[in-house]
Amino acid sequence: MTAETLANPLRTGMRVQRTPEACAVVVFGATGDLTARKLVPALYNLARLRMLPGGFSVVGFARRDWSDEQFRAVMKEAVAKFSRAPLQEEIWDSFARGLHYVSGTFDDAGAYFRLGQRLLAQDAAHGAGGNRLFYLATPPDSYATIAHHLGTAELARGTKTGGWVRLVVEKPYGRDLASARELDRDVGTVFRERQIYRIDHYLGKETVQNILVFRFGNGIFEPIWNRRYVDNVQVSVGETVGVEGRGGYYEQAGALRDMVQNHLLQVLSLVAMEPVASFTGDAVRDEKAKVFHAVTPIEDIGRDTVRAQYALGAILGESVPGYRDEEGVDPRSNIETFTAMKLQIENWRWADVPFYLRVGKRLPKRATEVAITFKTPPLQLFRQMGGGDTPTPNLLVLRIQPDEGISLRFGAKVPGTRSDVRPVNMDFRYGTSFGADPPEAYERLLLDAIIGDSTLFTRWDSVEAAWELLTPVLDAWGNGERPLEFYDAGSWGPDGARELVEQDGREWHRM
Amino acid sequence: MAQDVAPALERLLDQFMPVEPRDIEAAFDRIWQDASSGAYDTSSVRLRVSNFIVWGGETEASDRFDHVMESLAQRHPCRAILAVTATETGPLRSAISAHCWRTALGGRHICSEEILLQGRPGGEREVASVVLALVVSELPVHLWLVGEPDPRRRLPEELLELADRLYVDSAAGAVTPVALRTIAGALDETETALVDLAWERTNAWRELAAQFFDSGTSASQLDRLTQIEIAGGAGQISSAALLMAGWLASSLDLSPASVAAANTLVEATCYDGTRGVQIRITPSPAGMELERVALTTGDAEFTIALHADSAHMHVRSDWHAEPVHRTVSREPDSDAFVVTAAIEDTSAPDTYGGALRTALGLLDA
Repeated sequence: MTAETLANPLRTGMRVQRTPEACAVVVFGATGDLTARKLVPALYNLARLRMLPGGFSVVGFARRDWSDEQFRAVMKEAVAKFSRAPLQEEIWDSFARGLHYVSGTFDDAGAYFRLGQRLLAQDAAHGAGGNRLFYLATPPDSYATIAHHLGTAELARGTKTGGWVRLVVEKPYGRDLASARELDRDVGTVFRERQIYRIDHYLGKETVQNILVFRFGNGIFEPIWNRRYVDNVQVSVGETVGVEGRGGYYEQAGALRDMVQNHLLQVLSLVAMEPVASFTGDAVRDEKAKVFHAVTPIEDIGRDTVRAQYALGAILGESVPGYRDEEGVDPRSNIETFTAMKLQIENWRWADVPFYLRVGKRLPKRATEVAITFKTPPLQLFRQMGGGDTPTPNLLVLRIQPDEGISLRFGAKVPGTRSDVRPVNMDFRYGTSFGADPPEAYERLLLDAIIGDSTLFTRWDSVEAAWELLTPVLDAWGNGERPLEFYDAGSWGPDGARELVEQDGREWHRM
Repeated sequence: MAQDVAPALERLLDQFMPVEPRDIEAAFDRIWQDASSGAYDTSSVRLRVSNFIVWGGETEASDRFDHVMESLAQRHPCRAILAVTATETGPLRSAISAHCWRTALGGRHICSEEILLQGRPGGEREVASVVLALVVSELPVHLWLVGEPDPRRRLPEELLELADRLYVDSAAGAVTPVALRTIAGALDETETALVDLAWERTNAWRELAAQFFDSGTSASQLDRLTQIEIAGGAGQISSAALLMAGWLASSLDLSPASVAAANTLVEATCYDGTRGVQIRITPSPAGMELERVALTTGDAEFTIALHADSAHMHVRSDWHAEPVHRTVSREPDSDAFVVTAAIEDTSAPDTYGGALRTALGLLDA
C-alpha cells in the first residue's frame, strides 16, 4: 500500500487493499507470446476484480505495424483463450479502451519519442500522473538497447508531476556472471536498482509464498527447522514435456540456466532463510541474499553435480524422441536437460545439511516439490519390539505444483498386540481444502510491481550471487569435468543422479 | 488447482438419528473411513478450520443453509450445524451429511461435516445444549442468525457466549431503522464480534469509492466534497444505502446537523466544523439494494452505478480532461457469497460501528 493510499480517509479500517495508483503499463514485445498468454490476461483479470484504478492503460510496443484497434482485437482473442476467467464483453470493452499500441523497433529513437508523446497525452486525458511501468517481454539481448533508449528519451525518470517509473525484466538475466554484470551495468546506467523488478514467476505462485507462511506463520516448525533436526533438503522439479518447439532457446540455455539459476535457487532461499522482522521488500530480500552468500562454492564439480540429456523413451504411454532429435536442436548437442547438484549452506542453521537440487525434462511426472527429511530418533525403541529394523524418517513435503499442498510422514503404531510401526502420511491439499481459484502468478506479480512492492522480485545481489555459484559449474562442465550422461525419456534421470545422493547414504524422495 | 479434483462437490447424506453426540461423532468417523478407503494413496486428513452454526426458523434457515454450504465448504472446511425449531417436530432429533470433493482417482476428500438439529418451538435452550456438545473445540465459532437481526431476543445466552463472530443481516428486518437500532443495541451490549451481512454487501461499493481518492492528487478532492447522493432499497431506503452514507460521513468526520428523514427520503446536511455536505438518500428506482452512489465536489463528480444486468458496475470520474470510466464485475449478493466473504472479512469492526451510528444519526429528525 502506498503512502498516498494511507492518506485517503476512506481507507481507514478497511482490510489492506492493494489498489495501485493510475498508471500506464508499457509492454515491449507486445506482439509476442508472453504478452498474449500471460500479461494481458493477467491485467484483464485484475481489472475485472476491481484491482486496477480508473486511468489505467496498457501501451503495447512492438515492430509490427498495428493500430490500437488491431492490438485490441488480437488481445481480445488472447484473453478469450488464455484468461482463467471467461471473457465478459462489458468488462472487456471497458478494459480495451485503455489498450494502445505504438509501432517501432527497439533501436528506433523516434519510436520512443512517439511513445513519450503518447504517454503524456494519456496522462493529460486520464490523470495517470506520469506513473509508468515498462515491461520487457522481449529476448534478453534487447534489454540494454531498450533501457538505453528509454533513458535517452527521458522516460526512465519520474515526471515533473511526481510520477514513478519502474522496469520489469524477465529471466534469464544474463548467461553467466560476466554477461549478467554487463547487463546490470547497461541497465543500471539508466535505471536505479530500486526501479528494477526482476520477475521470477515461481515467486508469484501461491504455494511458493506459502513456504514463508508455513515457516513463520506457525510456531511448531521453526524450532526444528535447522541442522539439529533436519537431515537433508531436496528441491525437485520434474517436467514431462520436452523442449516443446523451443529447441533454439534451450540450446542456448540448458536446465542449469533455465531453472536452477532462478527458480530452484529462489525456492531454496525461501526454505533456508532466517526469519524477517517485517514482510517488506528489502527485509525479505536481505535474508534471501544472505542465504546465497552462505552457499559454499561447489568444490568437486565432478562429484557433486550431474548433467544429463534425455534420449529416446516413453512418457505416459507414448514414445517420445530424444533431445537431439527435437526440432531446432543440434544433433550433437551437449546441452543438459537434466541437472542435479549438492549444495551446502555454511551458516549457523544449516552447516552440514546437504541441499540437493534436481530438475529435468521428460521425467515420468510433472511435479515441483521441496522435501525435508528429518533425522531419526536417537534411540530405536521399537526395533526390538517388532517395529522394523530401519525406521522411516519423518518427511515434510511442500508440493508446489501441480497438486499443491503439504504432507507430513510420521510413524504410527499398527493396531494389535505387537508394536509394529508403519509410516503414515498426513496430507493437506490446497485444491481440496480451499477450493478457491488462486490468482495466476503473473496477476500477483504485475500488481506488486504496479504497487511498488518488490518483495517477490529478485534483487541484483541475489542474481549476482547465484551466477557466482553457478558460473564455475558451467565452466567446469565446459572443460569436461563432468561428462554429459544420458537417460531414457520417462525415467527419473541418469545413474549419476542416484549416485549423487547414494554417496552420502541417502536417496531421492520419490515424487 | 489440484488436477485430480472434479469441479463439483458431492454431498453424502445420512439418515435421521438420535441426538447423541457420541453416535454423531461415530457416524462421521464412518463417513471419513468410507471416503478415504477409495483413495489412491494412504494419506488422510481431517481438515476443519471452523465451526459454522446457522440458527433460525426451519424453512428459511434450511434452504439458506444448503445454499451457503455449497460455497462455504469449498473455501472453509468446517463442521456446520443447522439448528432450527419446527412445529412438526416431536422430540429433538438430528441428521448428518457431508460435502466432499470427488477425486478423479476414486477418492473423496471431505470438506464439511454437516449436522441438522431440529427442535420444537420453545425448545431453543435444548437445541443450544446439543450445539455446545458438538462444536469442535479450539476452532473459531461462526454463528449466523437467520431472520430478524435481534440476537438478544432470539439466541440463548450460552450460544451468544460461544460464538466468536455473530452474523446478522440488517436487511432482514421488516423496518430498516428498527433493524439498525436493534443491531446498534446488540453492538453495545454484546462482547461477541458482530457482522452485518448488509454491510458486507456494500464492500465492493466502499472499495470503489475509496479507489477514487487513492492518489495524492485525487485525495484532495475529498476536501471539496459538497454532495453525496445514494439510491438504494425497494420501496423504502435500504440498510445498505444508509450504511453506505453513514460510512462516508463517519470516515470524513461529517456529523449530521440538519436532517429530514422518512422511509423514502433522507436529506441531511453534515458538517465537519467548517464545511457543509449535503447527503440525499432515496430508494432505488429499480428496487436494488444499492443502485447508485455519487460524490460531487466543486469541480468533479465521482459515480458508481449498478449495470442493468446487476452483474457489473460502472465507475466514472468526471474530473480530468476526459471522463474516466470503467466497468468492473460485481460479486453476487447471494447468501453463499456474502456469508463466505463475511467470514473472510478482517476489516476493523469499529468502521462498521461508526457507519451504523452515523446512519442512525441521519435518521433522527
